[in-house]
Amino acid sequence: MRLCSITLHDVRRFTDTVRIEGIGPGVSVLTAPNEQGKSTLFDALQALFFQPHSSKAREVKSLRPHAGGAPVVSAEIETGEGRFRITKRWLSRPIAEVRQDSRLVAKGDVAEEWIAAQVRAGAHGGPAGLLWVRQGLTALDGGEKSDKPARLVRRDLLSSVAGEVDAMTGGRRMERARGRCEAELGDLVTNSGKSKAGGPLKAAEDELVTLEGRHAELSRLSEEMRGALEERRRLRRESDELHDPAQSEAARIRLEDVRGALESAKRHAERLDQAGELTETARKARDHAAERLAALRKGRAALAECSRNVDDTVNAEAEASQSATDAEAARANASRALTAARKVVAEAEQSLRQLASAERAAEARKRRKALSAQIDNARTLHKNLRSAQSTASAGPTDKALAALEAAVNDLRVQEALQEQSAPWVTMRYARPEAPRARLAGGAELEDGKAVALPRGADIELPGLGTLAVNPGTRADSDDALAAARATLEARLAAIGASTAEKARAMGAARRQAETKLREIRAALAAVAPDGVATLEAELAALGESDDAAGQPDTDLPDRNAIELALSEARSTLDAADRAAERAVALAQAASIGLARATAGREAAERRLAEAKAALSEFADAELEENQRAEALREAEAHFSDAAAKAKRLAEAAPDLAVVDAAVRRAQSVVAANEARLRELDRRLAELDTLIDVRAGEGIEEELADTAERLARARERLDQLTFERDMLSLLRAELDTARTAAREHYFKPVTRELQPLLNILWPDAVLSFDDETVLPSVLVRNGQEEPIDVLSGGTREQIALLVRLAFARLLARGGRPAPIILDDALVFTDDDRIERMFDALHRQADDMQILVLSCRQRAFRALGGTALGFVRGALPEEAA
Amino acid sequence: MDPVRFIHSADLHLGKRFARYPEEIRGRLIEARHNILGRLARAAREAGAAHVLLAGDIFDTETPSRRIWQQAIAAMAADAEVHWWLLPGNHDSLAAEALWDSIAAQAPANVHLLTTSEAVELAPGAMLLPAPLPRRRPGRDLTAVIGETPTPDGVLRIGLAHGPILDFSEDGQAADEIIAPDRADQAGLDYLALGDWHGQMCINARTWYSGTPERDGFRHEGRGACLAVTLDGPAVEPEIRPVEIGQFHWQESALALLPGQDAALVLRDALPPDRRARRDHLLRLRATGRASLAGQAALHVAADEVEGDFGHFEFVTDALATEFEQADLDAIDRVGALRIAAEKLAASARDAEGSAESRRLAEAALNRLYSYLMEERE
Repeated sequence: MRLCSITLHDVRRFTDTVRIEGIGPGVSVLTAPNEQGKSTLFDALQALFFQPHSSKAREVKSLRPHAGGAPVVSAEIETGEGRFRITKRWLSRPIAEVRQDSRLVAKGDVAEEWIAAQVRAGAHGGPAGLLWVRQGLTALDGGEKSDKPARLVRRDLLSSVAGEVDAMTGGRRMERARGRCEAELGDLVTNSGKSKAGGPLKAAEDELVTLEGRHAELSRLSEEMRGALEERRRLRRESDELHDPAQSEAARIRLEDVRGALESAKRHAERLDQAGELTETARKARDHAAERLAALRKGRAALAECSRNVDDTVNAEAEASQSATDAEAARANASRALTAARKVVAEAEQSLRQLASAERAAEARKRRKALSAQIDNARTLHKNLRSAQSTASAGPTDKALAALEAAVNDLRVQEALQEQSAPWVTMRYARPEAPRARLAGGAELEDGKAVALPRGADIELPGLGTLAVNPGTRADSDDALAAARATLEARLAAIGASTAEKARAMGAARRQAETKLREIRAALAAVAPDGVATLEAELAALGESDDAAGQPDTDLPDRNAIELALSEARSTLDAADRAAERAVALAQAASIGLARATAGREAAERRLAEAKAALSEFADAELEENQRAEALREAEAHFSDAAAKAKRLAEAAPDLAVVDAAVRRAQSVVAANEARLRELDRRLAELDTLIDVRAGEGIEEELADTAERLARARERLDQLTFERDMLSLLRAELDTARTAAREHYFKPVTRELQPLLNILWPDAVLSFDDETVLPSVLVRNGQEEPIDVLSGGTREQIALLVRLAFARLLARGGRPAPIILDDALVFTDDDRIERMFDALHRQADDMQILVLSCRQRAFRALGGTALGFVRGALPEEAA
Repeated sequence: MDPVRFIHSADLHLGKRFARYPEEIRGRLIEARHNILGRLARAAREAGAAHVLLAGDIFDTETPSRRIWQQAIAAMAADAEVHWWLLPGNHDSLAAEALWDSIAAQAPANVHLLTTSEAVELAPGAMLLPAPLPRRRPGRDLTAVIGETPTPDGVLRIGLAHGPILDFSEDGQAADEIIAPDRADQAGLDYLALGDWHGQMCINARTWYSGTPERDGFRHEGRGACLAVTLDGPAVEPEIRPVEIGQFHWQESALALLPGQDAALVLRDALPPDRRARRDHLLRLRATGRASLAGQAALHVAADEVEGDFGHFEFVTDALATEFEQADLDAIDRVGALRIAAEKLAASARDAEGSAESRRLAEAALNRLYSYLMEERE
């Protein structure tokens, strides 16, 4: 549908007929100051399309002029079927007509239906058609009308597409179904999916846990009861068996049997002991006989042996006696040779002692003489030393000389400085023969030679007069020179010399004396290092000279000859000494050998006597030996008999330990039975008590009951778990389907919207809220901005762009709808408004946009077709 | 000789608590088990029988609470003319010494405990040959000893035993505990009264399981009964007459559904017609086959409506598959997110490659979604 012209009559301020013509495709603009009827035009158009001609609604009544009248609104439109004029009058003689050219197409309610069909959506009903945007109604979320519920805002925004959105997303039916699903699920689980406290699922889980615990406890008690019953049966059987008289009698007989066996075994053991004792006695008798026989045989063998020994030792003693005699003779010879050798040595030693005494006397004399000479030399050196010390102490020291040399040098420096600053005079004679100038009272000035005159001078110039040369005043130089001189003189005075040369000569003499002094000291140290007194003491110790008593040194005997003789004598003595020792040792050994041989003979003789004495009791030793041998054979026979008898007894003896153990075992069986009976009685009493207590409690009944309850609780929990899973599945499927449907629907909207958004913000993206289906977040430069924090201008722009996108969508769907904007951009600044105009023109390519604005200057730049109110005539049907 | 008449019963399981069942029915079931003693006594009187033979499992456990067995003894003592012969079974074997000792100490003269396999005189000319269970699992056929037990010539030999002839799998008995089916012939018995199988069963003309007189589960349908037995003499075939004495009727039925059927109507047709009798009726309906979403919704509504009639009513739909019809999905929505979600769930429910659990979940979720939207429409 496209608007072509609009005619108003008796509509508010327009009591005359006014008309807007030339509304073309694309953008058409009506700009006029306030109070010129733009909003009246907007309301009149809305009434034409949405208010029945019979309506007396507030919106209709508001159209009537103050002076009264019946509002008439007529519009020419173009549809796919041609051009039509629709006209409505309200309140008085209301009409509704649709005409094509002058042909009446529809009238009254039919006309209303025809008009409604132009603004209605397709198959699913619901409003569609004009997109009306007026000042104050551009907000997306209530905006200035903040109390407006989001649902109503959505309806405003999406009134033209609400039917489609609802159809796609399920609308209220979906919301209610999902709400019920959510509510039923909410009874079972929390938002996080856990079983809800106080809910049936949690209760079922808790009941199951409780019943499982109870069942386990009852099972335990039941098992305990069964165990107790089983144990009591077993113990009773055992008790009965233990109380069985036959069994008791058998135990008693068994005990008596083993006790009899024990007594018998003990008696056998006694017999065995006796046989053992007899055996031992026979063994001892046999051993004694054997010993007696052995002793006799041994005595006889010893007698024979002793006789042989006596003969042997007599021969040995004779041989030893001869050896001792020979050795003693050899020892006497050796002793004599030794004595002679000792005498020769003593004589040689005496000669050597005499020679030594003579040598010591000669040495003492020689030493005294040397010491005297040394002492004399030392005394002379001491004298020279004192002289040299006196000389060396006179004259300047090296330090004083150095100071003096420094002063001399300083004076020379000062004099040189004074000379350099002195006036110089150079005389150049005009002729060689010219008379020579001369210093007053001094030398003649040579031709061309410079002469310094530090203190000035008078120069006599022959024939001319005297030239006085005066140096300038140089007080500092003179003072330094005077100071240098004073220093030099002071140092000369300190040294005691009149000139520097003398001082230097004095210094040289001093150094020479010091050198000599060192030489004397060195000589003295060599001659008497410990002093003269030491030398004198040594001399005194040597005593007086014995030169008169002593023989001259040359008379002393030959020491080497004496020492050679002594050495030979000592060697002889040593050989004699060793020979004597050997002879003594041999003599001693021979003597000992003789003594031993004698002792051996004596011992052999004693043993022989003893052997003879031992056998003396027997008249016939051989006969005695035969008798003893016979006695031994008899004793051995006795012993064998006794041992065999004991062995037979031992082999036949019962094992006393085994028999004793059998007795103990039999006794323990009786005792254990008694103890076991006591234990059984105690335990049976315990079990009786336990069973009595448990039996009345009906534990198995309760166990069976609990088991069935448990099974029922499991079924219940399974049912609730299934219910939970089923509701979760249903909710998930509903959510998934709804989200998919919305995306399916909004994708084209977004596709249309995106280029419009990019006109204002190149990278902007607008997202829609799943619940309200309203724009919710604008993303610009990567930043997410909720719509409600954006400025009024930005929200206004977004609202308009969203409508433009929807309008384009409708146009693409074959239901083009004009967009009518009544001062829709009141908050938009100049820069943005230019871009919004671009957006409007972009959309207007295949759509009709009617813009009403009081902002004449701002909207001048919008372009498009300019509209204006013109005076016109009523359509004939309304006239 | 005079005919010998007695009531043969077994498996009273006194003290059973029925904890799997809701509180509303539990107390009644427990009370009915106790009351069965009076019903047995009345059956005996009506049959002219002086004896009630209880072939084991008189008590549900080996250690019933004092209240249970004392009240049982008191009920038996109420009619001194009726003699009760109590055989320990596997649930209350001789291992329950405390129980049997206590009962022996308090038993009145008309209550006889059969704790050994010795023959006892039931009545003049009739010997009772019991085979009490020494423990829960005896590990052998205890009736073998009955054949070796001598009785005077010319007297009736009545065996009383507890255990399976087939592997009933009530308690998973071992094969060597199974009673020889021809035991009555082998042992020269005129009648072998058996307990253990809770349903009534005739093994042969002289061998019967009486079944429990008060049913205790859905396994054996109907009301409990006992057997009125008349023995006219040795070698004469016994006269056996089942006597229904149980209070509660147990029933488990399958409800086979097809998509085109009116599921609610099928359900209502499957119910017992006598609404008044439903109070003592325990019904478990197992729906099978397929039903549409609408049919399932209607089925649950119908089940909810009749549930209150019954002593206990279980409606099991585990085996009922959902048939998704185009109209069902259209009823959810023709287009849009609801339709997408419904189709996704329907696909999951039909997905043969998915697990049975995931199919079941998807099916249930789709049913739930359908019910939300239908209730909203209403």
